[in-house]
Amino acid sequence: MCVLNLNCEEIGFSQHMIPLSEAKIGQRVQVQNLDADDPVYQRLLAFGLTPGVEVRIAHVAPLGDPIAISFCSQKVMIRRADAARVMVEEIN
Amino acid sequence: MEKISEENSCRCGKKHCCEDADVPEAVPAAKPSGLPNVALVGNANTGKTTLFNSLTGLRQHVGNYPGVTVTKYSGPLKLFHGEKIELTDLPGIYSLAATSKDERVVIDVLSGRLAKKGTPRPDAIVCVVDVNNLQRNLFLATQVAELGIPMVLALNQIDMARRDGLTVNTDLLRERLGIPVIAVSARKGEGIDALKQAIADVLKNGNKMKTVSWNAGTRKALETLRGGLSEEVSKRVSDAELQRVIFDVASLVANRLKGEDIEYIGELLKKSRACIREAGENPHSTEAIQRYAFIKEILAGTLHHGKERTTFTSVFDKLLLNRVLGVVFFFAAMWGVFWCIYTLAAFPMDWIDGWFGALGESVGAKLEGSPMFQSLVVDGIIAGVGGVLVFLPQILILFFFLGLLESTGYMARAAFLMDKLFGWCGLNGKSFVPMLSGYACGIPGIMGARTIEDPKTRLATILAVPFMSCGARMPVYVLMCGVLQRVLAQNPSYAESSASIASAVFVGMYLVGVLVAVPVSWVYTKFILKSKAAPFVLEMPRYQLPRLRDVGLRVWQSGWEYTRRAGTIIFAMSVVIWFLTYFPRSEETAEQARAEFVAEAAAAQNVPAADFEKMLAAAESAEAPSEAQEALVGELEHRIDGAWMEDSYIGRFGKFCQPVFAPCGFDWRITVGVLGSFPARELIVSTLGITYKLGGDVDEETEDLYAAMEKTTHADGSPVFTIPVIIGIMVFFALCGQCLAEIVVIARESSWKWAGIAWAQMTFLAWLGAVLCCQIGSLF
Ligand SMILES: Nc1nc2c(ncn2[C@@H]2O[C@H](COP(=O)(O)OP(=O)(O)OP(=O)(O)O)[C@@H](O)[C@H]2O)c(=O)[nH]1
Ligand SMILES: [Mg+2]
Repeated sequence: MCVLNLNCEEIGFSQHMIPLSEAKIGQRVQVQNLDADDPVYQRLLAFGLTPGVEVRIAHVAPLGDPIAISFCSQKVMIRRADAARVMVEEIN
Repeated sequence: MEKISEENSCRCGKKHCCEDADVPEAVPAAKPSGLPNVALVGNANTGKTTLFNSLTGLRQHVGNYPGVTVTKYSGPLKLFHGEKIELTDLPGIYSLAATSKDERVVIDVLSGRLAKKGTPRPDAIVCVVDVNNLQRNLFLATQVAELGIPMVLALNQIDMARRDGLTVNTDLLRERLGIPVIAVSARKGEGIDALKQAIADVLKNGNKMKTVSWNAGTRKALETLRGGLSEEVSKRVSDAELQRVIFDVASLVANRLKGEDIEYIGELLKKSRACIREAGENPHSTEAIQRYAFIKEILAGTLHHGKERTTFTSVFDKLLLNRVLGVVFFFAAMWGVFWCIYTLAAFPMDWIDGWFGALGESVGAKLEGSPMFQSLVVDGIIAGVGGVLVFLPQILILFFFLGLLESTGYMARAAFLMDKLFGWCGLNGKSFVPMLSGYACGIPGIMGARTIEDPKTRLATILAVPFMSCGARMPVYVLMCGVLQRVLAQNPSYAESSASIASAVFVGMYLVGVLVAVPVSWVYTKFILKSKAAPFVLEMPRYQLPRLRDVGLRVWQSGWEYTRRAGTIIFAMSVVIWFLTYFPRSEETAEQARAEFVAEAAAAQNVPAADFEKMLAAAESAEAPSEAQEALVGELEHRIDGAWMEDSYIGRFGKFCQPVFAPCGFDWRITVGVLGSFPARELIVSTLGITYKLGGDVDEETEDLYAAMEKTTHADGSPVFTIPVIIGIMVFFALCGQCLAEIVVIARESSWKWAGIAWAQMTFLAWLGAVLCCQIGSLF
């Protein structure tokens, strides 16, 4: 992961895709266009999590799961396992 | 006045339900009441129910978390010029691609599928949106707009917007959407009149909201689909409906294509979706992308945010969801609640207790002439009903705190903090909220499980909820902890800390249910139902100051319900228990007890039995008995009462069943109490009250039930209420499914089979728990 990250920066890419579950608390990320008929993503889409929307990891529960994400002036909680299916791009 | 109707719209749990298929669509609404029907539709937690209450004057349950309302209900509403309409409140939904049971109700109502069952397709919709999150809320509005039903847009919670410096240009919105847009505050009663006027207007004018204009790819997909349908089917379905099927293949609307070959439709849909792909878009996300683009256009320039400032919610959440502080606060808060219940309630409890004591005495004195009637009233009704009503203060305090929990918005935070602890057993994150409401009463908790999409997870939740210690179990805990405290006080090593141990046990009882429910759910989800943890997304509401009206209503309703139960089922059962305890009361038994008493006492005093008999007779007939004589007679009566009690129907029954509970260390009285409380848990309190009052074990001086219980002994003289037995009784009640109403609701929400299983498993686990307590406890 670390290596990949370095490479990306070296060649001047700002894009670095990670699953939403890997984002750190307080981190801002951007949602990618997904081709998934995934029930979690369908729900999140209805909440306004369309591609390009900025998401912030607002809270992480004491036992590490679930997480609370905030986007479009709302806060929702989802489990890590579900968040793992949403790919995001780190914003530098 | 209010009409609560429920629909078990889909029992089979499949998406395309067998029932739905044969209902003719779009029948002109058959209106049973003949009134125009207006439905409140909107996202969860936007204030639909608050608005419903403030429009109709009814009192439906409101709470600051998503998923409070899980069923539909209607009430009449009078508009200004005397027109009457029927207003229907619905559960909250985020999208028409709804999957859970409560959400399907909305879709069924909106599509007119329930027309035959008394809820016609609405003539108009009030789309209730939270003005503070307008963008997300309008997503559903744009979907609903396509149903072609006249609509009013209610921008609710305008008071919050004002507080946060957000202003909305409603005129501009109205112009762009083509429907009345009314800013309201359901909570403050603002804009209600304007809303009523707007409802009347749209009913007359039929204003429909502007809909999204789809891009070329989507239009092509629609054309392809329509082109492939047979003429007959094509005539029946609207563009909007076809659109839904393209976006959401699992949609309930797919039923409307009935008449076509399923495989053919599948192919056709694939072809149609391919058009979207060809246009370079993703069929799964294009709907949301286009709708949100449309919404942004509509909203452009209508909202003016004041200067950015940190909101209360973010400040509170920083503390309350902090990984350390949040947990500390959670447990401290829970402890605080139980501490209040346990200690604060003691004062009013004493008053009520004293009041019932005085009532018993004065009524008893008036009924001196007819001993049987006196006994019925004093030992049966007052002891039984009074014994239960004594615990009213605890119930009120519990519901006060639950009301606070619900109305502040902390409920969703508690779910967030605790999810992992429950999550491993396969329960959904959404199971937590029903389980929390189970602490008030299992019935709303079980119904609250409707918000869970996956039918298996929902069933697992329904089975878990009754393990949560509901309000009706509290009297049992309070009574038993009171006895425990007295027993501990006798023991020199615990005497000092008896009160704190007893209150810790009290709190511990609330954990027992959870500790058992979680592994039980694990077994179910893993081995029996084999359900996978379903995904869930739960919105965290903004914190709100608790609304006194809502909290007060919660306290009042629960207090009233508790009192009502005391006046009905507890009253009836008390009379029955009294009857079974009082009769047959045969002279023979009395004589036999007397003879035994004489023989024993004579032997003890070393006088001939005949002399003692004479002495006794003299004492009984003495006009002004001496103290010694009085004591002697008292002791005899005591003996006779005891003999009658043991010979009573209930005594015989208890002794017959007692072997089952012998391993738990229960004596026959507890056994009767346990068996008698299957209709309702708090009945054990009244049963014990009656059996101890009527039985010979309690002498007149014994001030209360606690002391009487503490003094009870087995035949061999050892105390019945030892620490393990007391805890065993509480564990039994913590786990047992002793509530008729709850079982009926489980059956209604799942099936009688599962209700039976739930009941049997809970009863068995309860028994097992009590046995373990007694057996392990007696090792020490
Ligand atoms: N400040 C403010 N709060 C409101 C207003 N209307 C409702 N609320 C609060 O919002 C919360 C949710 O209200 P409900 O009426 O239960 O919402 P609902 O839309 O029926 O929610 P569900 O039944 O879960 O779909 C409660 O805490 C209300 O007190 C309002 O106009 N202003
Ligand atoms: Mg509601």
